[in-house]
Amino acid sequence: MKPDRNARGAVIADLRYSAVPAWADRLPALRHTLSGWAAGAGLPAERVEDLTLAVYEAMANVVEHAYPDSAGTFDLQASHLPGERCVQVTITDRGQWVPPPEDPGPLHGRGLPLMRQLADSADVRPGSEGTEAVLRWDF
Amino acid sequence: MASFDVSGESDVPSTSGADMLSVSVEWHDGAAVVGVSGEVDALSAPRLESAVSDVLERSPKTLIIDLTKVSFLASAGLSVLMSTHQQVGQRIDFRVVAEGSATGRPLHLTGLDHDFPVYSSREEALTTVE
Repeated sequence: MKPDRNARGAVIADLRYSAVPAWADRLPALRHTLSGWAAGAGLPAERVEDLTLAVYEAMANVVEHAYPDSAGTFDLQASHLPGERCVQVTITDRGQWVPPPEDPGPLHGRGLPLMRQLADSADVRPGSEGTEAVLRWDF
Repeated sequence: MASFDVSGESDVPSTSGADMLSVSVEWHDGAAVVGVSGEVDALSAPRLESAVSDVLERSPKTLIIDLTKVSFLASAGLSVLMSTHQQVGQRIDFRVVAEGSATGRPLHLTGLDHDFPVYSSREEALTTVE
């Protein structure tokens, strides 16, 4: 397997976090790390901002909705896929998927639509074991 | 392939909302300017909400929320802006200042920039106050 290299030829390792507590106070540090990683992967600054906000909204959704009755965790993996000319970030939880209401009202429900607008593709896959959100940005 | 795998809660430091966001209030006659700096997310948005609510108790004619020094604006912060807009209705002239993509892009993508006026500088927002 060829090593994964960014535009400047440096190897960019995957960024992986496992079993992060689904608490709002853990998300700022994660998004700062992710932002640095995305810049290191060679994404332009404006797209780094898009990625940081979209992944934040995905994580905030897990914190807010996935574990209504108990403490839970989530996993985060960010990968640069040079063969597919994209970066991909996957957020996985083991909680329950709460479908957004059809009419959330003016004050709520902006996170997921915003996430979909910011990413080049956003695939949210709810399952019986939890939800996986896969977000991609093309180079 | 090289990767680093970090497990366990101690590896992701916690942050307090107070560290992320600071809010200052200035009055220009009847216009209150709430200057926000830092990052507005789900953790820190309640601080902005409470600062705005304190200002509203003093019945300004105009309320300007200046996001010029905000480097990150998540949907929780957008909700504070929208709820402020709804709360003040026609009573108070509500304006937002946003300059740069970190704040301008989420305001634009969600269409909130059509719900209330967004200015590119505090001066511009203030000089057009009636």
